[in-house]
Amino acid sequence: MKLILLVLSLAVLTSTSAIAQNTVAGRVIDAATGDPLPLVTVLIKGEQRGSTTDLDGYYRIEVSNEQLATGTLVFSFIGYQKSEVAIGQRTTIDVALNVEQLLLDEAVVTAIGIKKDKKKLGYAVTEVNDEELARSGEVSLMNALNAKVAGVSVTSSAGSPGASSTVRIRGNKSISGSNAPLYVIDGIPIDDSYRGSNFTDQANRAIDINPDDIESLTVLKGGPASALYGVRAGNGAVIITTKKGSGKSRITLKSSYFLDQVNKLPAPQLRYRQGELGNFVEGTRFSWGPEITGEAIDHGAQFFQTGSTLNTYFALEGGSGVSSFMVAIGNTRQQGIIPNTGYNRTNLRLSGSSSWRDKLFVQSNINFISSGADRGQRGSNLSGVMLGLMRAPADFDMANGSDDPVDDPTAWSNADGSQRTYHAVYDNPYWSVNKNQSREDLERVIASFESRLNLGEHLDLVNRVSVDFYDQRTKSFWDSRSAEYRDLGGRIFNANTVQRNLNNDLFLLYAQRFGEKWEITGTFGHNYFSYTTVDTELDGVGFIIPDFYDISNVDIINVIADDYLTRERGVGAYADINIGYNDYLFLGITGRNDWLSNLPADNNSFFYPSVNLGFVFSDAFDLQKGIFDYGKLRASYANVGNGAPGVYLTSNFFSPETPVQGQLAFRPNSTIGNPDLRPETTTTIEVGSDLRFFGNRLGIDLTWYRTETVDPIVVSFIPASSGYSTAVLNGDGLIRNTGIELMINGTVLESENFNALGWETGFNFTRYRSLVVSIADDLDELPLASAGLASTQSSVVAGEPYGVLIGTAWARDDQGNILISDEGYPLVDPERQVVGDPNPNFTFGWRNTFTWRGFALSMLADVRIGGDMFNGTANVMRFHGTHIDTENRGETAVIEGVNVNTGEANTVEIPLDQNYYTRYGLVGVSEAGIESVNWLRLRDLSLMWTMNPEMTKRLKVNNASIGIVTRNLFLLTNYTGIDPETSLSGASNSFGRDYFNTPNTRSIGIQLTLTL
Amino acid sequence: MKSITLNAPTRMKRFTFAVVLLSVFWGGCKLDETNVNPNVPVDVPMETLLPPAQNGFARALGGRCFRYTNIFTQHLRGTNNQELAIENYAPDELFVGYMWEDFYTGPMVSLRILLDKAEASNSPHYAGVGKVLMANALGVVTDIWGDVPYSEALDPSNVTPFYDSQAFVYEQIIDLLDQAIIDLQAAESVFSPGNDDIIYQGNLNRWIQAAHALKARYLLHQGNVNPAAYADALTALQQGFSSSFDDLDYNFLGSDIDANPIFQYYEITPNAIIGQQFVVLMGISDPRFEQFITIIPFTGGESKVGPALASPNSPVKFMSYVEQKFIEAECLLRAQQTPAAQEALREAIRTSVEDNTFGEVPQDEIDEFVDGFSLSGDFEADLALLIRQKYVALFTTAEPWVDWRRTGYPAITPTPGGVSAANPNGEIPRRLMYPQFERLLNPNVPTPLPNMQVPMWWE
Repeated sequence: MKLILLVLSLAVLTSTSAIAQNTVAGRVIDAATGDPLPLVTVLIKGEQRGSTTDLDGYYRIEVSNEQLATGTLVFSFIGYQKSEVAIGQRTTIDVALNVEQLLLDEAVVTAIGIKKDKKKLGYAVTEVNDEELARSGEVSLMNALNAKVAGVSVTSSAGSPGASSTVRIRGNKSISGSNAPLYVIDGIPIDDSYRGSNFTDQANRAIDINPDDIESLTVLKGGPASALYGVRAGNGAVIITTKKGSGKSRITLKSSYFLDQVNKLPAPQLRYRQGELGNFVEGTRFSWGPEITGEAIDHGAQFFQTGSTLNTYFALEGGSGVSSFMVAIGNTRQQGIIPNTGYNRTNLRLSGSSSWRDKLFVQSNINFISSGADRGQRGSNLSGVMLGLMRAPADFDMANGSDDPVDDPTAWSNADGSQRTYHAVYDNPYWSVNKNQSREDLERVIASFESRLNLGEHLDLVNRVSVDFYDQRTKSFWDSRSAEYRDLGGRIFNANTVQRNLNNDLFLLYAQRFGEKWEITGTFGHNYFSYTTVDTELDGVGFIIPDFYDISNVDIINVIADDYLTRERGVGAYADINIGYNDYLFLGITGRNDWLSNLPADNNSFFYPSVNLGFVFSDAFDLQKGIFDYGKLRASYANVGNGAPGVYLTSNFFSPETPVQGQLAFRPNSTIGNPDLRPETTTTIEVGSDLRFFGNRLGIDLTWYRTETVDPIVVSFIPASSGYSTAVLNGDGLIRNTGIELMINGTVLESENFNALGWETGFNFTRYRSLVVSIADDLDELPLASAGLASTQSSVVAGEPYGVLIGTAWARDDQGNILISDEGYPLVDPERQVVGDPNPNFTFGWRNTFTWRGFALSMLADVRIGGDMFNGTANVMRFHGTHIDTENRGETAVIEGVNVNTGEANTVEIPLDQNYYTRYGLVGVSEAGIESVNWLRLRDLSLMWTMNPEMTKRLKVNNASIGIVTRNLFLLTNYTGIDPETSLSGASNSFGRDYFNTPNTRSIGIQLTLTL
Repeated sequence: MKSITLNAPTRMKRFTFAVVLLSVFWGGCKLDETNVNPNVPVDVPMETLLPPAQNGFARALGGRCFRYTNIFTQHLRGTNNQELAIENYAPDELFVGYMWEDFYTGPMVSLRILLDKAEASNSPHYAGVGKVLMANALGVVTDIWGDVPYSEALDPSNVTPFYDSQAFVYEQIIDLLDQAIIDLQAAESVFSPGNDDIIYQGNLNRWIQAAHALKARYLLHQGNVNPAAYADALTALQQGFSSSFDDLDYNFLGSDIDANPIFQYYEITPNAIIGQQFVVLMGISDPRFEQFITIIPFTGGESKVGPALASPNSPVKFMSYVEQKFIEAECLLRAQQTPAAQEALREAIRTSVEDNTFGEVPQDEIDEFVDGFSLSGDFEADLALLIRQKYVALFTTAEPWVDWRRTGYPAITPTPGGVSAANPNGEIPRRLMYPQFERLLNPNVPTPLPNMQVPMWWE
């Protein structure tokens, strides 16, 4: 290799130096962005002799005296218009190249923030630009990605402001570790921790990113693309490029205002009163009473309010000569659909860059984020709002006739201050939003400093250091008279998390062309990261003074104080080499070695390689004929290692317990550590094609992949008779995901000018199949860790797809008939089993955008077919007699099945009464709550008007637009509960469960953008 | 420019080499230190293990164990959630596992470590206390599930322990108690329990009494398969408790954090109301009635365990003088010493009434109530009377379920509709199914899996 390079270099050098007399030099930049363009071919017209620009866009070329006077330089670069410049005795020629109108090849940002020509990649990447992100008017970047990228699934846990969202790229791969992608902003990996709670919809911290700050975003779906980020990007990466100063002086103003409403609620029965067995019984939890004679109340309709979102963004950019900067401030204020809940976020960003003598380039970004959230009680929680609403009898007015029940204490409390509710065990939601609150405040700084040293024509040395620091404070309390924690006299929980992530990348960039045909680029780097988290908690119970919620209001002996330091470090060395031949064959090779602190010292070093090949066969065989413009085939193989799913898993220790009557207390930690952990690895094989037709008006991008995760590190349940609950296993395990991703982009009507009608369409299709071949050793089944609701759990089971729902099921005979008792009731199988698979069969998104005279009408349809959801809400509502299904009380039925003793078909008629609906307990039989989910939703629909060029010129503005944006305006689904895009367990590995989850919202708003 | 081009690959290589070297240095030296948990100790003294073991055992007994066993015996009626499933004899094996964990991953594993430490440090006094509690926990566990892991259990190096037969487990219980009695009498002990012993504050004589009393209980349980055990039980209890002041029980402070688990249960998820059967068997004229049963206002007639047993500071009894007196009465009755049996029975009832009425019932009323219980000499009738009174007095404990399985008394009838695949004939369960994770993950679990009608070894 070295020898070849040497020979090639010498050949180039000897041929150029022979006739050189003068030197012409200069810089080539992108005319639109001002970014330097590396590897631009610079030729002297009429000769084969030439040069290329270096990584910072600089070139030098030797010319003869004659050429200096009359010659012409030709600058060419894929995706840009060719530029010919007469030399005219000049020795410095700077050139700005314009992007070609039909953008065939785009530069995309890949790993380590390096821009690569998309044409040269042997793997799938998808770019999403700022306009596309803004179309759904989402506060959360994660939700803004929904239905827009093939292979990416997004599930928001609820419609609560500032709630978590689960983002998965090509499904779940890890059992005990996170499956979330890595978020990288301008080359800096940022923290996306999720501190889940059974009580409120906590955020995962990618929510701190302001979508308005984003210029573009690239989704690296795994494998070779993420090999360079190492262990942290095993689940793919979302590479974000923020808006930067372009050197021009400009102001951008954006503002939007949305109204948010509940989009779907479970249907209650409004016919029968509180009571049991047909009689009114005061105080009972049940709605099995007589018919309602007065007014019936639909609690959901009464309780939820119209929320709002106000979003404001201001940016100023400028600069002169070698320096540019940008200041941006964004603010979001949200009021939730649940009273007294909300979310606000302020993002302040300063970005600047400068250079010194074309040798040193520095760039720095500082993001300051301040956010606050007031969260409502939800889920499997006796103080939960949905739980309180959906279980309540229709004849009990939670609001007590008040016009303003949220702020009117007579609605929810009695004269003595006790709670006004229909049944002592559940909270009146109006009480809950006043007396059980959770407030979160966060300040975060993400700062980076990058310096780039030009070491010559072909080499740059880059160092990029960053810190991601935040301080998150949560204060949650439950009143002493609230349902949850009444046994302990109320509870207050103060948690403070201080997290500091350091990251440093030091790397060499190398790029060189050898002759006409060969091109080599490379990255050789070193990475160091260190995560430190200090969690401090004060957890107290038993309020002394009513209505005063502070840790000072509980007896000190009832306070548990803890501080917990979590630390993790890693070191990596990596290389990425790309070889291009004749601009149609591209080979990429990456390799990385990681050293991780969370693995045992003997096994903490591991190497993993990847290789990818891109072949533009249309160029190679000159096939651009007729309707066919471009064709590329891609193939890649990649290996990504991963460490332990947490820290401190390699040894055993003792854990502190609540002191017992003043005596210090410890117990052996319930997890058995594993000193022999080995890294787990995920192997991805991917093939794909990129085809374009009709003058690039139709593009089809098809990808097939298979990922295999081998020997996952699993925190497994174990037989408790060992004295321990869980153990860290790392045995024979294999999880396989296979998928197809299809993206079709088309320009149906090409808009020739501003006034003509244009129609762009984009379709993305995702289908994947996961299979847990084996988990570890002899382990066949393992519930995925999640808070809340034990009766039905998302699990991994050998031989089943990832995340199947395990729960109770009807007892069946060998033919699958349900077994029925002599009394006529179905029997329950004593063994828990797989009752559902929450993975969808497929999903697709279809965007259509019409433009005409400055108007743009855009709509994104989102379809999901298949995948089960456990509707625990409905099961529990049926038990209580509040579900619409229970309106059939009084009727009789014969349950289909066979008699358990005779095997004959069941003929016993049973009454559909309280006895029938309550006989399987509160949550009932899991199987009875399983629903297969399909949906068609209009994820967004927007109508924007952009000022035409003449008007902008006359008004001296750069750009102006105004429009109406809607989100989730329309949802058609067979699911009987709330919007099924929800998850009880938030951004955890467990999914497919609805248990009094907070409903989702639809929104309509107005959006205004002005650039001066 | 030219020289750079020529040398770049070499430089790069050197640089990469340096990077790798640097990485190896960092990787090798400091990384594993980073993974040492700085927040917790790797070893702790015995005095920090004993308090949570005692507290945990009390919470286990007053928690799920109380609910499962007392619903089966119809002291309680499950109305909702798991309690309703138990009521229908169709408990969910996942939740059954939580009760299993209440013992194995709670007090039992702590006691196992405590016993190892006591032996290693030559501290027989700690060993004695640990063995009494271990024997007690093991007894409760085997009486719920039958064959259970013990000899290989509670060991992190073996996550699939062998299941010992119930007969073997009973041998171990008696053996542990015998050893405890010797250990507790040791003249020398490097460390001895003091204030960390929440139950007896380090009073070893009390622990010796408790060991004898527990021995009497676990001998009594074996009576059906080993008739000589009744006499042995009588011998053992001679050195047991002399009054309820000696009871082996855990006293809660009654603070928000250290409150009786039955009290806490009824504060938050009262899914088990008082069973009709219990009301009938106790009788509404029983002086303990209002102390054992509370009707909850504004709930549609729901009821709960009364203040004597479910106040914030009510103790959880592991073994009591009252129970010991019932054991004595039964053993005497079986030895045909009816008058002595009657005396012991009356002492048991009297103590139970006095302990649970807190002086609020006049002595003459108590006397009158107690004197109402006479043994006739008809063995079956007398046994039925005795067990019925034991059933009342030991409300909230796991013993009435054992007594019902041993003797068939009190003659309660099964809940209708209690046929489930785990309980084929719909009768009152005689054992509980094994937990989900034992079934799935421990190949040593008995096969075929016994259903809930398979009797105990000692039946």
